[in-house]
Amino acid sequence: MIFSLLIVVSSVAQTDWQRWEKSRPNYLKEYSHSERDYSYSDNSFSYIISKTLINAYWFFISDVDGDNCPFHPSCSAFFVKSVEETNLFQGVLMFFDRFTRDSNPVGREDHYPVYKNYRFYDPPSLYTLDKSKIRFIPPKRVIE
Amino acid sequence: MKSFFISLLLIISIYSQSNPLRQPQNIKLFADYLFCEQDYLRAAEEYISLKETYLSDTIIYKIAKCYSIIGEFDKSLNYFFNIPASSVFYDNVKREIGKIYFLNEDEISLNKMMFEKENSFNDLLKLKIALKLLKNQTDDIENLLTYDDEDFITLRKFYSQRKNPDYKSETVAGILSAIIPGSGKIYTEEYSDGITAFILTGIFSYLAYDNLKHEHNFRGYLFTGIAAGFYFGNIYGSVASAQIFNAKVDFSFLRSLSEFLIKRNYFVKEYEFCN
Repeated sequence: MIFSLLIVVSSVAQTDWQRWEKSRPNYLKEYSHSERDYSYSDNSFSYIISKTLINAYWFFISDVDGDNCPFHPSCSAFFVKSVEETNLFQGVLMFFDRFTRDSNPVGREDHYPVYKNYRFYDPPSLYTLDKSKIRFIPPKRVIE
Repeated sequence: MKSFFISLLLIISIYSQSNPLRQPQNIKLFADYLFCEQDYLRAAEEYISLKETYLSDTIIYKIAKCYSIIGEFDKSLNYFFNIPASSVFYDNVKREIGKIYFLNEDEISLNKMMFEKENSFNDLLKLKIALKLLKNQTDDIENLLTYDDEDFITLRKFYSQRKNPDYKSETVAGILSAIIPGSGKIYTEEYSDGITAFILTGIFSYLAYDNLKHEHNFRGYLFTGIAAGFYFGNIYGSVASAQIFNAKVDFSFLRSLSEFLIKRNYFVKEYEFCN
């Protein structure tokens, strides 16, 4: 009986370690990588063409090169979404315009809102020329 | 003697059960304390727990004010409507109701409660003008801006801004970018984007020209395509940039209007209940 009691008491005593949070805290910042969705969500010809192109780019180039685009959605994802929201021709124009913004390193912090993954938030809906979709978001605001 | 003691015992035991803290005077004192501590939800609940005979105009006003502050506008209106026209609070009650209608963007109800002979008319008129500015209904505002006090002067400035906003023309932005790549973006005050567009289009055009000149046809056509992409993409982007600029102008206007109204407390007068 004494032996059993000793085991029980010592087992219970161990739980104290948990109670006082004797664990290593994680000091790393939470970080979410760009989501790569390879699936097809539309049946239109232009969407399938652009999505296949971008899927190939993600798989063969971007994943090897790294998650480097400073924007959310990334330029490649922006292109696919642009084509999905408009058409291939307009999507290409929107992509080139985005690429110009991407090439400009000056004053981004004071210009764009920030997405939760610490990227500059620049959605394609602002550039479709549809005024009902334009919503001005003040710079530096965090978008969840 | 025995029955006397039994009765006394009963009375004492019954009396001891009663809670002096729940007496109306103490409830009111506690509710007043909560009100002054800005604990508005609990203050309203304490005031409501008072019997109807204790509900003076002041208490009803405070209940309505509590609900108005915490955004429970329907409940707030119910209590504000219970305050009679004979009350000293009546004029301010109308301003408070006007504020709620303004925040709900309910122009019809706001119009219905405006009577020229009442003291609150002037302030409700300001709210009506502000609501029209908010909804961008500028057609008949000029007729409403009839007074000359400080608020009307400010509202007149807002009206002039709304009527003639500093928009950028989408067509001009597009044409400018077609003439000189990037100039449309500079026109819409996206200076660094404009310069970047000019450099990118220039570099790829030069590369295309140089490669075609030296008969490197594949590279020549490739760079021609990229240069054309940047050129037309920039024209498109300049039009989009003008739209975004105009959305920014609207956003700034609404923020300034909102700041003005908050500063003026929506023209509602505040009573010093907590001094």
